[in-house]
Amino acid sequence: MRSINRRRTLKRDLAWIFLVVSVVLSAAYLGLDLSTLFNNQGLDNARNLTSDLLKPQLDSQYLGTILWLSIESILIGVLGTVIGVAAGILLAVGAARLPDIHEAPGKSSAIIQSVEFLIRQLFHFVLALFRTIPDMVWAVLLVLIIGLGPGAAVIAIAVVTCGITGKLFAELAETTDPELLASSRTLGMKNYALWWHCVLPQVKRQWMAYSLFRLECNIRNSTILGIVGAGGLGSEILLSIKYFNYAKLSTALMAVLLIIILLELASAWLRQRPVKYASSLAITIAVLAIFILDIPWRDLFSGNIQGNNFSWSVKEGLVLKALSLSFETILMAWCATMVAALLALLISPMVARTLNSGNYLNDTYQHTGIHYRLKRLIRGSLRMFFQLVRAMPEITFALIFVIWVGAGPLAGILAIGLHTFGVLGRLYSDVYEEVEPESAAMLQSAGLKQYSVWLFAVMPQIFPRLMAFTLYRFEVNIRTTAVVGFVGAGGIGDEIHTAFSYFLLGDLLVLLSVLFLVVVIVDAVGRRIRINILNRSYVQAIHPLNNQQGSKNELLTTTTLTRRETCQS
Amino acid sequence: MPILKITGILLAMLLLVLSSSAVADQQVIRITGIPDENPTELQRKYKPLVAYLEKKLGKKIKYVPVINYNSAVAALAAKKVDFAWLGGFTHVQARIITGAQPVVMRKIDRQFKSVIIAHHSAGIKTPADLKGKTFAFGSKSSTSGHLMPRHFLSTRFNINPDKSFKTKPVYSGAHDATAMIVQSGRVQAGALNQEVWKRLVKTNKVDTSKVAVIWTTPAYVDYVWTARKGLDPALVSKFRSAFLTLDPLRPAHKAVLSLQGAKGFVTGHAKDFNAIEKVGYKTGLLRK
Repeated sequence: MRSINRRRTLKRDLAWIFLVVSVVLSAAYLGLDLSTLFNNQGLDNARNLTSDLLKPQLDSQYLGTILWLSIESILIGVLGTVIGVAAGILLAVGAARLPDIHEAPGKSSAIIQSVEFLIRQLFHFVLALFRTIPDMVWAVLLVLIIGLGPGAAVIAIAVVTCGITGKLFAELAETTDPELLASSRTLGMKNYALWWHCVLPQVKRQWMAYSLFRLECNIRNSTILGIVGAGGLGSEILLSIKYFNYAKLSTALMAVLLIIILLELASAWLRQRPVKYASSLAITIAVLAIFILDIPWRDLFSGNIQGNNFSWSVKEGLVLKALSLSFETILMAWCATMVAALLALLISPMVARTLNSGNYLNDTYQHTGIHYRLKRLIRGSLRMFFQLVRAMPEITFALIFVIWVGAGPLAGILAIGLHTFGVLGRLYSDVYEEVEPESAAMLQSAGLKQYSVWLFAVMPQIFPRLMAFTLYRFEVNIRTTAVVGFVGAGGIGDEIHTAFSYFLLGDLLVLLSVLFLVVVIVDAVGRRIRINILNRSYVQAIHPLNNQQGSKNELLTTTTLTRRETCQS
Repeated sequence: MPILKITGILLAMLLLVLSSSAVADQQVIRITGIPDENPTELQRKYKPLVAYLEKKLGKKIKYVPVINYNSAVAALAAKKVDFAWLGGFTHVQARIITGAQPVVMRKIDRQFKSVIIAHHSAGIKTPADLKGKTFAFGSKSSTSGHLMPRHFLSTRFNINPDKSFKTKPVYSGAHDATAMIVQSGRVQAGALNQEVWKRLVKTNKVDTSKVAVIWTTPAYVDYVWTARKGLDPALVSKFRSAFLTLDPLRPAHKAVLSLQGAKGFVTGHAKDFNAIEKVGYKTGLLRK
C-alpha cells in the first residue's frame, strides 16, 4: 500500500515538474521576449491602444455600416449552421454503424462487410478533414474560388459544422438502444427503416440541442471570418487595426460583444421552450439569409476557377519546415494553455460561489458585512472578466497583441492564453461548485479556512476532471494557434498565409496535410491520456455532451457542460 | 409532416434563387484595384474615374473593392472583374496564372521607384545599417513595397530580409500603413513606394522630423491596368483609348489624372514586365 502511494506521489510530483519545465523550455525555444510587454515601446502601444479603445467612433454613418455588418454576420452564422447540420446529418448516416443482431440468419458476407467498413471509414475521414482544417483556412480557399463576400463564410462555416456535427451525430446514433434495434431487425426492418423509425426519434432532441449550441458558436465565428474577406464584421476589425484607427476598432468590438450577449439571452430563452421553436426560427432566418445575402451560388458550380495556371510545385524541404512549424504551433498552444490553467487554478476559487463567500454549513455565518460584500464584488467582477474574455474570439486578441508586442509567437501565446484563462477559469469554478459538500462541510466545521477547504476537500475530488478538461482545451487550442498565425502571430498559420498570397497551391496542400495529420495525432494521443487519467478515478471519459454520470437521456437537460465548454469540439 | 413541408418549401426557394442568381451582366464592366492605400483614399480615387469611364465607354462601370492584393488577382482568376489596376508583381502573377494582358499605365509607372525610410531614433544612415534592425514591408504581393526593395537589399547590400533583420519582417499590407508603422516607432525602418511617400509628406500625413528617407531604389516598371483573358478586344482597346485621351490641359480630365497621380497614360506592353518576372523568380516569390 505504501509503495503504491509513494509511486503515485512520485508520478504526481514528476508531472508537476514536467509541466513547469516544459513551459519554460518551450518559451526558451520559441524565443519569447516577455520584456516587449513592458518596455517603453510596448507600454506606449498599450497606452495608445487603451486610450483610443475607450473612445469609440459613434457617428451615424459608421454605426449604420456596423449594424449592417452585424446583421450580415448573424445571417451568415445561421445559414452556415443550417446547411452544415443538414450535411452533417447526411454524412452521419453514412458514418454510423448500427449494430447488427447477434448470430443473425443470412448475415452478409465478409466482403460486403469489409466494403461497408471501408465506406464508413471514408465518411469518417471526410468528416475529420472537414473539422480539422480551421474554418479560416476554408474561408480563404473559398474566397479564392467564389470571390469575396458572405458566400465564402457561409460555406466555410457549413463545412466545419458538417464535420463537427456529423461526427457527434454518428456517435449519438450509435448509442441507440441495441435491444430496440435488434427487435426491429427481427421484424424485418432494413437500414433505412431503422434510421427513420428507431434511431431518429431517439436522437432527434439531442441532435437539435447540439445544433443550437453549434449555432451560437458559429455566429460568434462568423463575426471574424471577415478578416479574410468573407463578409461580416471581421473586415472592419482588420481594417481599423491596420490603420491604427482604434476608435473604429472599439465600435466593432463592442458590436461583437453585443451580438454575443444577445445570443446568450436568446439561447437561454429558447432552451426553455420546445425544440421546434428554435429549429423553425433557425430555418426561417436561414431562408431570409438566402435572399438577403449576396451569394453567388452559381459560381460554386460554374468552374470559373478552371483554366487558371496555379503553381502546384512544392518548395524543397517544405515538409520538414511544416513539421517544425507544427511543432512550434504545438509548443505555443502548450505554453498558452498551461500558463492559463495555472493562473485559472489559483484564481477561480475566488469565483466559485461556495468557495468565495458561500458556506458548506448551515446557520452559522451571517451573510452580511463589508467583508462579505467585498468578496461578492470580487466574485462578480472576476466572473464578468471571464465572461468577456471567453466571448471574444481569440483572433481579435491576437490582432491586438500583435500591436502591443509585435509580430511573432508571443502575441499568439498571449492571445490564446488570455482566452483560455477565461474559459478555464469559468470551467474550473463551475466544477468547484458541483462537488459533494460533505467533506468540505466537515473541514469547515473543524475551523479550516476556505482555501484549506479548497485544497483538501474540493481539489482531491475533481482534480482528474480538471486535468482532462485542460488537456482537451490544449488540443482545441492547437487548431486556434494555427489560425492566429494568419495575422502574424507565429506558428504554421503564417506559412499558410504566404502560400495563399503567392498562389502556391502545391505548398498549401502539403502544409494543410501536415496540419491535418498533426491535429489528428495529437487528438488521438490526448484522448488516450484523458481516458487514462479519468479511468483511474472511475469517471467516464470526456465528451462534449457527457457529464460524469453521462446517461443519454440526460444529455438534453445536462446543459451545464455545454454552457461551460466553448466552441470547437 | 411539417419537416417534409419545410424541406419542400426550402427546396423550392433554393431552386428559385439558383435560377436567378447573378450571372455576369455583359452590360456592366467591373473594375478593381489593389488596395495599396486605405479604403477611403481608394474610394476617393476611383469615383471620378468611374464617372469618366462610364461617359467614355457608354456602359455601366462598377468598382469592386477587394480586401488585399492577391484578392485582386483571384478576382481576375475567378472572372469576377474585367479590368484590374495591378502592381508589377501582381500583374505578373495575373498573367502567369490567368493569362491576363496589360492595357495601359501611367507615364510615371515606367520609371517607378521605392524609398527606404527609417525612424530617426534607429540610427540608420544607409541601408547597410539595416542589419539587426526591425523592418516593415507593405503587402506580401507588393512590387514597390516588397518585391523590389527585397531584391535591391539582397543584391546591392547583401541583406537577406528573412535572416538579417532582428525579427522576421512585418508585412503592413499597404504603403501608408508602412509609413505609419515606422513613424510610430514600432518598427525601425520600412519600404514603400515613392509616389505615396511624396503624397503623404505633401499632405502632412507623415511627420518628417520623425521619419526620413535613407535610400531611393533604382527605377523599374510598376503599375498597369490589366484586362482579363477572354475580353472582347474591341472593349479592351476602347478602355485603352479612354485613358490615352486623358489630357492634363482639360480641367475635367485634370481632376481624374491628379487623383490617379498621373500626368498622362501610355500603352502597357507585356515585355515591360519581363524584368519583374525575372526578379520574382529570383527572389523566390514566384515559382513555376
